[in-house]
Amino acid sequence: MIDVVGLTKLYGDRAAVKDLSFHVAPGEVLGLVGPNGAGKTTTLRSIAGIIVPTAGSIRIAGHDLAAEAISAKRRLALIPDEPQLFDYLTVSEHLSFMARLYGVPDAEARGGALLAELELTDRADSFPPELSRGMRQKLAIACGLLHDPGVLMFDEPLTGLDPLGIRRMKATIKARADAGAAVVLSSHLLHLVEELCTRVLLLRLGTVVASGTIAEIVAERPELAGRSLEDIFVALVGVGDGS
Amino acid sequence: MSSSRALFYLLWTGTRNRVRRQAARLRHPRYAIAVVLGLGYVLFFAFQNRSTNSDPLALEFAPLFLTLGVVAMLVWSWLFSRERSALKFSLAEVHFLFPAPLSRRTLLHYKLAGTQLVVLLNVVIWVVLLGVRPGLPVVMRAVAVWSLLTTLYLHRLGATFVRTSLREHQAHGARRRAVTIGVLLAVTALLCAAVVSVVVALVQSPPGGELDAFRATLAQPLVQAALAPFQAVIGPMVAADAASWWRAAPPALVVLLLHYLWVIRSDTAFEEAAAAASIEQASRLRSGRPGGRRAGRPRYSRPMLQLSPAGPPSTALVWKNVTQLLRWGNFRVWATAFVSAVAVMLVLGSVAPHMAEAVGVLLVSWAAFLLLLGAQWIRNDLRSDLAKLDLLRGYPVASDALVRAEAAGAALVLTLAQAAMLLVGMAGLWQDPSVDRAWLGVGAIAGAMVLPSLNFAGMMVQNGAALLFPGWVRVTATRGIEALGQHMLTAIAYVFALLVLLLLPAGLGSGVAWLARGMGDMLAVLAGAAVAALALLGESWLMSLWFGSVFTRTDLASAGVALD
Repeated sequence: MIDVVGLTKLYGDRAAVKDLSFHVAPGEVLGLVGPNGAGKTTTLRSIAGIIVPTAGSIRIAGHDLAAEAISAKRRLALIPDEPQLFDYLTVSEHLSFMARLYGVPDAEARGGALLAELELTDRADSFPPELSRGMRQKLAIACGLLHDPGVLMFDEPLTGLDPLGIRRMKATIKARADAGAAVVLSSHLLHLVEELCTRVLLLRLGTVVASGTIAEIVAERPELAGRSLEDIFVALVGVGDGS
Repeated sequence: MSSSRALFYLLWTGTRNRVRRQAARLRHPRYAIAVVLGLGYVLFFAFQNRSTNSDPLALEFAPLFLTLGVVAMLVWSWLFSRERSALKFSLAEVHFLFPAPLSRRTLLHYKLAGTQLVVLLNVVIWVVLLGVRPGLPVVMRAVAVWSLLTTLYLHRLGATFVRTSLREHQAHGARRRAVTIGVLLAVTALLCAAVVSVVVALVQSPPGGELDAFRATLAQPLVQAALAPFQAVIGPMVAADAASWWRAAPPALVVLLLHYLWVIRSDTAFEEAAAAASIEQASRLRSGRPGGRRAGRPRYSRPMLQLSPAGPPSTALVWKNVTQLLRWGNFRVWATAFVSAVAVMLVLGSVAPHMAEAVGVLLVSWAAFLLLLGAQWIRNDLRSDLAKLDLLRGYPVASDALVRAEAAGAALVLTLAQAAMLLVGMAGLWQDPSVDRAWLGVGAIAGAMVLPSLNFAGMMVQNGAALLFPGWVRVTATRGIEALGQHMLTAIAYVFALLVLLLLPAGLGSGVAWLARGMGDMLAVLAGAAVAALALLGESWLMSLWFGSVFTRTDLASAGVALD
């Protein structure tokens, strides 16, 4: 579903991401982990078509993001850590707007179901400034899920959610993957990655340090056997080396 | 380090770093070219040997118009302004300075000093724009501009304090502000009486005698008294020579000093107002809302148009932007002010039929005025979405179509506003027997063809500027009278770009009209207008392709655009 080959993004002389390649199949949840400045958000923004890569190719559901940007974007959704909403549109109007953008035929039924799932039904006429941080995050998620994307990307999805919201969010991610979506999840919360992700891509300074299932990563480094993902992360990235 | 030195350090380093960041942008060729062109224009303007306007009517009424401009700004700040940008502290200032052991008065002085940097920059711009005139040294003109801008800023700040105090404490706040409210009511009563006497004099004047009646009314003690404080403020600005400047300066400085004392003694209200402004600012930043053209929360109202899920995706953006404007806090104020003005003029026209033509001309002039400045005022397009470029880029809409949709939403609103003015204006002109009704109809049809294209092209220029120069576009820039000079520069650049854009359509339209003259003058004009409108649309389309590619590549972080 997601094919990234040789992705490189330069900012001046500095490489945010260098020659990154990976594949995410339908139903898989890929965990994107790494210290600050590792290139996680740059990778997600490149796949979402927000920034133009310096080199490399990205295919979404078979559509080349450079040549068939519109077709590719119709099949994906990026849910950022900070919800990006329009202050002057109500909750339900956000869904109407997204439905038109993505050409969702049964928008009313889908929107209603999503609002119910995310417990926003009684806030349908509220504006984003009237919502709590968690509710705005839920609205951003509803906007991302409305067109039933085949590719879902989450950047720190639990930020600002209460314990109940966290539980629901994890269930939502899992349900989408079970339904056949390819999911990429970027997070510093390693227990979340460990719980939800089928595979992990560990980045450091824009390059891949390790990839695969936790079992595969450990198989390559037997000294890490029996240790948690947090210990593996620290061992591979190095303590205090975020430069 | 004392607290005041720490604040001075903050001001100094902040300014220095801002200048460095602006200078660093000049490494990008597009910014460098724009600066060279801008400086060239300004220098040409500064060294041009301008002759003094010798039109006696203009010379006679220039001070009055300036006075009325000041009155209008102050009335607006009291009656309609809901924004608190005069007190806006950045989020970092709120976090660091408010809990710091600093007195309210120290913070207020810090705020005033920070605004002086903006004022001084705008003094330079105004001195250049106004040009050097023989008889009045540059320094005197600069002091005059500084005094005017500072007084107006202090007034806006004081008005914010009073409004906040009344809102927070109601009756108690009114008692605390009794002196201010008393002075305000007295000045308002005087102004209302003056307006009534002017209107009565104009209505009762015989046809052709309006100017004399106006002059006579202005000489009345009541009108003189009403305008006196405002004339004191603008006195040094309109001084023709050094001697008259020296006579005008003391009253202006006294008014300035009174304003300073009024503001500095409002330090309790300052804390309340600053806190409220900061909460608003924090909420705005949290929600990623740029600009802050709208204060407070939007009011819920059903959009005039429901958006169906089927249809071209880019029309969703037009709908979004029109909805934004309809829900903008000040939209109702503007709409009410416009409808009231039209109603007053229509009543005036029916009471004094000889003034119907004047009303018509005025409204048509307003529509033309909007052609130049409407695109700067109506900003429900990429300029207000600049902080959300990432979000927009993720949408499944081609970048050129997205730019067109963003510009179209704003152009639609502007065109509707102009159409309303033109319709009412033409209704006024229709009553004038000396106006050829057939030509009036031709003008209306030609306007209906050209205006939408022209507005669309104008909005395209504004959106293109936002994409090409994101570091210069007002995302969260200072607003208010103290920054008017910067806005004037932008307006000049915009008008220049629009004129360049008009060259080809005007040439083509004129050529077609000339070729079609055999069909009759009216048809020739209509044919020319149609071709000019099509040419403008073609230019706009080409611009959208260019700006679409810029949109794909623009990275605000790389452009050094600070959204806070």
